[in-house]
Amino acid sequence: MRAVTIRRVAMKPTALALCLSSALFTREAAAPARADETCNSPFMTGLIKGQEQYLHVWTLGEKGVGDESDKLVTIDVVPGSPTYGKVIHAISVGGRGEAHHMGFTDDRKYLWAGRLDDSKIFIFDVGDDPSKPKLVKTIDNLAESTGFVGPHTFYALPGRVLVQALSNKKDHGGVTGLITYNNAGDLVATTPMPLDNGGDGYGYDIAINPGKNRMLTSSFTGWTNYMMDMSQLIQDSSAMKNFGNTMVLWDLKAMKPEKVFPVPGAPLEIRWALKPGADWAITATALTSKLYLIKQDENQQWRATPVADIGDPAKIPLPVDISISSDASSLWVNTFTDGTTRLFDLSNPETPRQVYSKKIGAQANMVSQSWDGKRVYFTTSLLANWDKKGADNEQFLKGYSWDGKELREDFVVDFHKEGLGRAHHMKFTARAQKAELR
Amino acid sequence: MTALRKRAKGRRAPSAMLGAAALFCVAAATQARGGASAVENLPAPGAYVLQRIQRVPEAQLLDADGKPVALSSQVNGAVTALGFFYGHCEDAAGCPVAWSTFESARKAAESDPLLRNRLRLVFVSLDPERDTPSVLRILGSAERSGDAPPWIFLTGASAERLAPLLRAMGQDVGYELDAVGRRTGAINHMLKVFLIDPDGWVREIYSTAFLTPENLLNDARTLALAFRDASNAQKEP
Repeated sequence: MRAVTIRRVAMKPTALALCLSSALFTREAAAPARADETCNSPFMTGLIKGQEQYLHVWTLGEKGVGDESDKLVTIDVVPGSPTYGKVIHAISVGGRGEAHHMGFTDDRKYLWAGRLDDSKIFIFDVGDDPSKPKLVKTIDNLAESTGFVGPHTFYALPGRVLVQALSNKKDHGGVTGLITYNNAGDLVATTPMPLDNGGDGYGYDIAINPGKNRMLTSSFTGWTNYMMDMSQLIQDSSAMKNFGNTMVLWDLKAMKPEKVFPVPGAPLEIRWALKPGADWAITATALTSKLYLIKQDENQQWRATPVADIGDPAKIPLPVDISISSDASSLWVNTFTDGTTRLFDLSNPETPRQVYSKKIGAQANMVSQSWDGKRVYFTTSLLANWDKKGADNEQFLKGYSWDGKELREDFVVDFHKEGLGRAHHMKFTARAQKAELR
Repeated sequence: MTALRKRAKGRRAPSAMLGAAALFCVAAATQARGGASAVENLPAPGAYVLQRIQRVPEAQLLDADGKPVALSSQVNGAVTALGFFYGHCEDAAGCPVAWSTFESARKAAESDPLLRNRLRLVFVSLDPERDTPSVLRILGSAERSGDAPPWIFLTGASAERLAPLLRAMGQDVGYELDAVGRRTGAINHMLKVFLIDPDGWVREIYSTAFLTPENLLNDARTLALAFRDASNAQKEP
């Protein structure tokens, strides 16, 4: 597997080295790169296999907290650093627009961050100095230019960013589409989610397997639902029908849907197995609390199959983010309602087993792990109107060490005490990877 | 610092060695690609449309004769695969992959009536200091082959003059420095190959995850079907 193409190399002075390298290593280099720190696009360079240095948290502004604005918060996560576990930078973008997810461009120099309410996309330069991200561009015409709203997932393609929207401008329902921008932020194409052959038109996450020329998408809900107060939503039986129940297998090159899988209960994050040759993916359903395995059967037909319950589905633990280990042997699954993270053994992906759990806080949403799996980070916010109220509205980043048996807390950043807001999506950067790239 | 590293610092490799290397590369790269795994499940050529990702920017480069040429003149009119390289690269996941992919693609295109006269290959050096026009001539002559599609080698007047093109194309580069801040000669770069239509639009970009001869050829055939008038014949400046 080769995911890093920006590397230091020992020098030899002749082009002969090039040719010899070609002869000796072409077969290896031609194998598809598969992943970044376990969840990013396989088209992205600059894999951090060592120690991540900075952790960026896309943070929702919260009324009565600090400047009340959405912001990108940067935390030093290098153990032993004088500012370890501390906020070293924060850049407010103005207003509260439901800050949600982020994604790097293929060169890892820019971080795109979206807001689900006003559909703005903010592009931060994290290549020049990742300790101090700079806002370099804002895309504020998504709805007008595409008809879609709620930019959720940002997935690097070579020279492009593929954006999965959650909703549409016309009725704010769940029928939506994919938007392709080039890295400069110019609109390249729009692709509607399928409404035929079983498709419900909904969208959520994107995951690509380049070697198979396959893309998977999942499905959540539209603007009307994700902006509604959670207590109101769950009592609205009509609204509760408006959740996605499908996943779609695409021909990536053609950007055409090939097959729609019924996956009831809002399948959310999708992770392809990172182990070379293991061409399967896994997802968790939010409303039905199940892990689904997506793989080919003995007849080479792709199928999505429920393979495990997550907690007790009857109690609606609400599985949210998941994080797969780099060897595809285990999967962290957060459940929002009980603020718990659960580790599943994936050594046989047909029969995942929960082998560990730990309560992280009153609520827990996102989880990110380092490439070696030894460091695991958690944040709390799901959506501004879905987060818990009162004392249970804890907002934090917690960093843990994982020794294979126990999560041990290393640091906590209280996002309320720090005047920051609601802590949501996380991404890593490392100065050493990029310092020479000018 | 080893003797090899001392020699690497800003010196031009001997022409004879480069020539031998280039000739060796033709055979080695082609053989190495023989059993490379392909991207599975590619749609049939012409059954899909490649996105218009970005325009190829204007840029002034030098050809193998040292003459200034506009990049647009080297890509317009043909289905063009363009890659950035440097002659001293030894990153196995970098230039050699592009080199061997071009070798394999060109060999296949030579016997393909759809591509033989429509596909053009262009290599632009990231290292104008060492990859001078005279070096390009050696590389170009080593890669000249009968009726095969042309493979053109270009370089910049200087690294500074080349930089705007690299930025515009999203070709990330960094010059490795030693402990005292001098360039070692290594150029860190992300492997990218650009497929360009005859109108000068980048229609696909391949990084290591997606770069195989089969994938490149499939897309080139798709463009050739859409641009029947494309021609790789060299135009007079």
